[in-house]
Amino acid sequence: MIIHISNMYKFYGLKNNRVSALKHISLDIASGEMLSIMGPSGSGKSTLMNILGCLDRPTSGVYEFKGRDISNLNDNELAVLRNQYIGFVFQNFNLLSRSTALANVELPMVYAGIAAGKRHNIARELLDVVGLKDRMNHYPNELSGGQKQRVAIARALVNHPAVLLADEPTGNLDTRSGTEVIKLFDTLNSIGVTVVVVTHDSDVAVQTRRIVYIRDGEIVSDVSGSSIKKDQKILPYEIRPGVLGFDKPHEWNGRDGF
Amino acid sequence: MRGLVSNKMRSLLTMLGVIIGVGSVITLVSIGEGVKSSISEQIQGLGSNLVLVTPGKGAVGMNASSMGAAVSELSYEDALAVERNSEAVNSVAPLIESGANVEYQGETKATLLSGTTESYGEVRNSPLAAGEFFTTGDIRGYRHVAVIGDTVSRKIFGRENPVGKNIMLNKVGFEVIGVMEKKGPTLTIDNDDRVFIPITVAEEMLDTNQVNMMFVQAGGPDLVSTAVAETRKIIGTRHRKNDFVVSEQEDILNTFQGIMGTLTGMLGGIAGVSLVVGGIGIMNIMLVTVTERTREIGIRKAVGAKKRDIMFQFLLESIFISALGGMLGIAAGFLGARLLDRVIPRLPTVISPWSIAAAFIFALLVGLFFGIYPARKAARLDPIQALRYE
Ligand SMILES: Nc1ncnc2c1ncn2[C@@H]1O[C@H](COP(=O)(O)OP(=O)(O)O)[C@@H](O)[C@H]1O
Ligand SMILES: [Mg+2]
Repeated sequence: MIIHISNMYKFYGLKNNRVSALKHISLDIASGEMLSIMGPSGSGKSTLMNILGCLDRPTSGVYEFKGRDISNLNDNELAVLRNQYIGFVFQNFNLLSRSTALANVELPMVYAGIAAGKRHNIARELLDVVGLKDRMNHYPNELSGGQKQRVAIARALVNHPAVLLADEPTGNLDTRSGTEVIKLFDTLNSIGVTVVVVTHDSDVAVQTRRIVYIRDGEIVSDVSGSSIKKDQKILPYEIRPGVLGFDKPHEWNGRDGF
Repeated sequence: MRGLVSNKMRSLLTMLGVIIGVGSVITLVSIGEGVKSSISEQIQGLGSNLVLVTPGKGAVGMNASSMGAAVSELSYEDALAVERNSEAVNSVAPLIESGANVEYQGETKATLLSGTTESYGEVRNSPLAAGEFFTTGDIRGYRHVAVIGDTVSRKIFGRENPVGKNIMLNKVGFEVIGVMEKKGPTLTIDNDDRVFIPITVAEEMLDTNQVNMMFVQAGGPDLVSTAVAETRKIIGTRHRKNDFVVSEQEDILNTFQGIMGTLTGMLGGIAGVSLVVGGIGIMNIMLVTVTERTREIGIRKAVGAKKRDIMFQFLLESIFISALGGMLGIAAGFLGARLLDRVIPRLPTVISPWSIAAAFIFALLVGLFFGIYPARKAARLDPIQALRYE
């Protein structure tokens, strides 16, 4: 299990204003899985994703990432985790508006301490993969929604994460761009990246092998289907381990305090 | 850094505190240094191997004049005694000074009258431009002859040759026998606005036998300390008390430079306070910047920035502001000093490298110090709260 959650709660606010965003959540995700999380607005999907992405901490319960209890990790160790093992794609892109597409994609590598020359090369290569070869030096406000999301995905991938988390990645995109993004995820999953997608779109959800429904902060259903479909090639070339210099194993290898 | 560039006006206004701070440190110190160097030059220009004797500073409560002693303070005789009895002393130039009116063919002018001896020119390293200085004979003979300074010559005689002309000093007739070479001013003092007459004539005219000071010239640089000791002994024996001060040129210079150093340091320190105020400005703007860029900080943290990464980023920005402000401040300091030279030409400023270095380093430290709090605030932001920030 890459992700193990048991009996997890998340409360917001204090006393009278207390909101139980997540209640009694137990969830196991195996390495290489692709699943979607569905549920009505306000049901706690983003709260769960933020905790999965180590951006937030649960109020109580256990969250183990690759067998390590994250409640024992300090801020720096969580930063390393976010940097090296988790790729996060947001509904609203969250790109740095004053940096170019290339600089945005390079950002996680800056914090990983990768040399500038190597950073440029990897970022260029990934932008090429997501089809933005000719948009590298554009600023976010010069890009369409679909292009911005592809920049964000490239950014999420540069450090070769074990898990890709996407919170309504297609929410701000038109259907065609949305389909392309999901196809991209599918391809990534096919090379071994664990993918968790929050979506409202049941067409998107059925493409994943597992669907988790949340309502009022609780998991109400967790079904695994066998609707496995063939890989569709939408990329200029297939991402395989090694093709982007991504040959590091998804193992805890003791770097940066792990 | 990009944030700074995109907000040029704001960054410039923030820097203004540092610019003014560094600029005023450099300018104010340049005034102090200017005064110091021009007076030091003046002291050194007094002549070489000089020892200065001045009256006063007797034993406590034993002021010579109040005691009505026969030999009070310094006299021409003291000077002669030193010149005669000290091996180490080359010559002595006593000086009786007083304000006086000089008059020539209806032109009058207030000037400084100095009664002295023939040694003056040699001791004070003051050559003549025209004519001759008075001699021992002139002094012994109480002859009414005068040597005038350049300013007096120009004001009273214009283009006329003064040598051989008769002038009136406080209504007493004198013959001009020489004109001193121009010395140039010290700050606001005109060193050429003077008239020299034989000391004996001055004693008579001013009805005094007290000299204001004595310049004693030692026979060489290695004889200065001996000259000091012998002068002290000779005059001390004559006065039977310590009612005079003997100081080496070097001592005067050191004491004076010490005082000026302290004053200059104080000026710089006061200006330094404005640098601290500039630092508060930096802190203020950095706090605003951190708030404005909360989402950016959230994004950086979400992709793996550690506390120290964010801390470093914002510290770098505040140091950058203070460094740039410091550099502009150095330019402002040079400009301020130049401007002062224009406005008050008699007060030449001297920009010292240490004031530039000190002001710049202090500006950097101010930027670092006042940048710490905003940078820590940025570094401590919670990633998800920062991302949610509207
Ligand atoms: N920062 C917060 N403070 C207080 N309540 C919050 C906060 N974030 C989310 N909530 C509440 O938690 C619940 C779950 O929110 P969220 O996880 O964003 O839902 P979803 O993503 O499924 O729409 C909602 O009731 C929401 O109002
Ligand atoms: Mg949500």
